[in-house]
Amino acid sequence: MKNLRLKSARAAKDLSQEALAQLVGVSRQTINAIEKGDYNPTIRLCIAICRVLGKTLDELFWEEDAE
Amino acid sequence: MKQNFWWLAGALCGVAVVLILFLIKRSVQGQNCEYDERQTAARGKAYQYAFFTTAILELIYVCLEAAGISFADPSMGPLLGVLCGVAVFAVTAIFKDAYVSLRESTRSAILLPLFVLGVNLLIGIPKLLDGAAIVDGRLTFEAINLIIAALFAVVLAAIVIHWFRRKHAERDRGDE
Repeated sequence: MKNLRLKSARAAKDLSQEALAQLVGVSRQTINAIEKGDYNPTIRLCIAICRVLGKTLDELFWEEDAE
Repeated sequence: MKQNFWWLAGALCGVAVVLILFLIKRSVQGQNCEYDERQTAARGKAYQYAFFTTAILELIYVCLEAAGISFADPSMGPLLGVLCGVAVFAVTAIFKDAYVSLRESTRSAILLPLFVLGVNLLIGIPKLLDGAAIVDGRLTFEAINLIIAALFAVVLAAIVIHWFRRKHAERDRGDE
């Protein structure tokens, strides 16, 4: 499932995928894979992304039940 | 016996030169191969594919030898399986964006395979032309340079294809 909340939070901070990747110490392709829903990051990386974007884990990564 | 000694001495010298160059590069540039968590997982998967490829090819080689079908010398046949495994690892890692480490650029990742490909072609083509690489329809150890050149040609092709695909996808997306 695509992570549109991450994408919009990144855009709100005016950060490119490359810039966010450098700030959290991963490759640009990894940020791209997370946003596309192709990769589930570890909690460590989730926290690093949340800190950079000023969001909580819930705001960026918590998925509500589909029902 | 004397020929074996010089062959072994040459091989050891080659390994020593590569090791020294690697240590010099590492002391100058520091630890260059740093992969993020997704890349590490992807490389693990690539190692897995490479391991099973090598194992299956070695099994096929042993079965063919046992059946009296021999396409390569005993010094060459098992190496083919290992080199195919290396190719599977490299190509899988490339297409999963896990071949180039965080501190490397695609351009620098292309230079080494290009250099190795060129050197091995220079050594391998004369051996093919003078008939030393294939004797009686069987690959001999003299073909090793051409096989390594083929391996690095595959790696280079994978890097270039993946690079173009990525650029194309980024253009379609109009960047993020």
